[in-house]
Amino acid sequence: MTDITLAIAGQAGQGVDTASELLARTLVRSGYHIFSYPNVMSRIRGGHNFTAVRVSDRQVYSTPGKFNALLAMDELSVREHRADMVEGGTMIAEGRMPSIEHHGQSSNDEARMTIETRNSNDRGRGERADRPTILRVPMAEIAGKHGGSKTMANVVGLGALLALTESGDSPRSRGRDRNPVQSPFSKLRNLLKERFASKGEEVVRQNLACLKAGADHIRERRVTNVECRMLGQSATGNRQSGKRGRLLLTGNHAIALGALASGVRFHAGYPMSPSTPIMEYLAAKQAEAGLVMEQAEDEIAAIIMVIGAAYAGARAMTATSGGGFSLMVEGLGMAAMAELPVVVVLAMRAGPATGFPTRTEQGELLFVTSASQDEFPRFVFAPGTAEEAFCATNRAFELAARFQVPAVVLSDQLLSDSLWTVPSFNLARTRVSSDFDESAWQGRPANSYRRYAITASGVSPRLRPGFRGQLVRSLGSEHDEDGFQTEDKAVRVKMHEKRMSKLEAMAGAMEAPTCYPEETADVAVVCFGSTYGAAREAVDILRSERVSVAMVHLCDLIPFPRERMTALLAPARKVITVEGNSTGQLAALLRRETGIKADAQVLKYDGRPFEAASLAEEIRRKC
Amino acid sequence: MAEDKAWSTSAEITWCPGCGNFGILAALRQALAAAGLEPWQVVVVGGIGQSGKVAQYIGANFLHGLHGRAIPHALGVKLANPELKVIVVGGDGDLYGEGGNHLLHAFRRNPDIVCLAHNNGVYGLTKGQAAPTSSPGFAPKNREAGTHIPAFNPLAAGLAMGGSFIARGFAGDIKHLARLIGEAFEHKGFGFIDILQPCVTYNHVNTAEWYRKRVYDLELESHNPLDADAARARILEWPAEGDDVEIPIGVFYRSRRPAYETCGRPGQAVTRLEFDIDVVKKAMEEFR
Repeated sequence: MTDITLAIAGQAGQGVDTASELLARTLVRSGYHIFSYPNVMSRIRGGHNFTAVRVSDRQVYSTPGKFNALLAMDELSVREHRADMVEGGTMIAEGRMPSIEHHGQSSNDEARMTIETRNSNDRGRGERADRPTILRVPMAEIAGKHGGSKTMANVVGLGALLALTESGDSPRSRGRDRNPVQSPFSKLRNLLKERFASKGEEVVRQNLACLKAGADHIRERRVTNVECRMLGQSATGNRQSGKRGRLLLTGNHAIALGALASGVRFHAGYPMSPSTPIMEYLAAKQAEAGLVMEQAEDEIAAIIMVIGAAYAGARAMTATSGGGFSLMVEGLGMAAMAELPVVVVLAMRAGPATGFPTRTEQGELLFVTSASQDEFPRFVFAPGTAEEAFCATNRAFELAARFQVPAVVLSDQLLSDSLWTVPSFNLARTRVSSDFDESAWQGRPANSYRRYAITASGVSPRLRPGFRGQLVRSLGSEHDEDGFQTEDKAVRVKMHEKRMSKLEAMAGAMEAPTCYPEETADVAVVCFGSTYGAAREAVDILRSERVSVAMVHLCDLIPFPRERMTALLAPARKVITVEGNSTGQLAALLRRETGIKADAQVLKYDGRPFEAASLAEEIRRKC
Repeated sequence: MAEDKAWSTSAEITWCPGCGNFGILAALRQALAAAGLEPWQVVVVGGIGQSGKVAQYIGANFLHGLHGRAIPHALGVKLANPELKVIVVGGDGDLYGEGGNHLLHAFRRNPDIVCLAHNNGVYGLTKGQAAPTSSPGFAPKNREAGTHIPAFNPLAAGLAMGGSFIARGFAGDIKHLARLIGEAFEHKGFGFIDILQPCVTYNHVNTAEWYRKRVYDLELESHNPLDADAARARILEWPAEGDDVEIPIGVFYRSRRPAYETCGRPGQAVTRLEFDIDVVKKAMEEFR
């Protein structure tokens, strides 16, 4: 089994993000699965960012461990990540001619590149193994020479990094000779051609020249890295499974695609990390998909516009993070009172206030379950993977429309920003229902439509304003069936009960929790949202050590699946909740809804994702 | 007028007797009747306050939303379905206080929406607090020594923000106001009318009589609404300090700019588009 990690690190503005996306897509096209997590600071230039790309021949769900190879775009990256390298790991670092000694395979090389080991003077050969090999490549200089600008240094670095996947046997010619069609290097060549075609032939040529120059720099040195080399080999062998049915995308893009697949017609938003790419993606799709994306003056305006568009009859959404959602809270209640379906994506980051703008946490679970004044029915979905994010977004649109209530898709920076490989989404399974039955109103007496007509289901027929002869009255004040404001206590009770009566059918429409790998075990690990990946892999680790443990993951969270959770957790000897906050909000919700008290909790609130190995260790201690 | 009957509802009108809102409601009904619109083609978006209740009294479709948010509600409606005639009604608290930011951006965006701002210089529904348009000498609840801050000039803000139709009406001159609203209906862009109205209960300074003595019609002064400099000068005449002020009413400024919902938009009611699975398939391919 292949499971290795290639990382790219540098300052903001050095193209870490672009390079890691190109690397990930290259490897996906070579037949691999990817999980790529960006670790970025909230700044546009400088600082230190890195993205770790985990590569495997089976599906992977969580953040990588140590790095097998690192492309370090600056010196800080070299210092910062020495301790993150596996034994025998390889760093490709910006620079030339460092004064540290040459040794090993490349000791016969000229001075253009150097292989370093830290403290190598006072260590024997056996001890050197745990130090990373550092290969110096003057990336900026090469980029200037072949690309006309040092901005292509990241492409030079990528070429060098991918050269590590090639056989180190015969200098100068590998990659081109061995299997030109299938090597990751060729895949990257093709990807660069696609990506820069719109910028003209010269830009494509420069990028390809930079890529090749970077690779040649390594090839000439006959350097190799055993794990990376396996990557090149199995990619060739993996040709058949170079699956045509696989996508590489972020959680944000999975959500945006889910919205497209649900017939979204209107999105209003205000940029806020980590949700912004949803808005940007839909903006670019406006003409093609027939939708309106409006950048609002603030998040209040965003959700209010969404409510207006929903009233007009469009499937409508917004996306934000916790701060923006706080501003949207009154609007959420407005949608509920007016019984208008809106979908709100809330991508959590660490808070409160500005908090950690670019980092992850799950601290808004209880907030979202009760946001806005008084009581009203709502849906909350907390998908665990990009695939689930796509499906849950479709459910959010469908169920919001069917029950005429607001729905929240609860993501976080980990789910939203990570790159995932997923099987192509099954569009046969997504649904786009018709939200209006206007034919039933043709020929009815004028002004006979009652927006809030009492029905057995609590759901009143919807019409779009502009329907000849009928008027659609929607409002946030308490109202009668016609949609006129009232202060009548009997009407208030009737209308409140009408809205709340939807809850039972809403609960019935939700999907059951995911149990992995089976429903019952001695220990039940309960989690929600993006904790899925680390919890699932921790369960794998523990089960390989013969611990009887299973994961219960909640995507469809609110209305809370009381009966299902009660039944699922009853046989467990121990219930352990795992979540990214400091007070155990899921545990509190579980207890409130089912009376089940978690026997132990694993909590994390440092802005970083759970990591499978250390999570397994924590669970083991609490078993 | 007989045709006005179509523009009324069964809802009980809950304003104080003598409220300036009655004049505005009457003028709006006249303008709607004169415009040849059908009630089902019109959406009235109301803010919260005494003024926003117009939405429930006019007999058209309505979205009566949150305090301060009438403009973004209306923009959502208009962008989703540009075929609807959208009218915003709100008060000085709603449009100039709580929702002031939205108003500034509405002038910039210039959607084809008519906006009627009921301006009585005081908060009615919450019983007599200062409004952004209260004059400095006016002593409302909580500020018995006066408001001490200059009154908000919505027309000046509109001109600065690139507004394309900037007007002021007076609730005491229904005929003039109905004509102004009619012109705003005709205008392809953000048709903004600040409407002076007395509050018989809480504003004992700016009474109907006080206004009547001071207002004058710009049209009778040969004002050219295409002249931005002339508009600026007229706009700055009021609000102003002193008892001898004169208050111009009419269209101060008008310009031709494309309506926002036509700019880089599908240009049709997206509410009526059929779902196309091929768009999704193609979008998915882009993630290979």
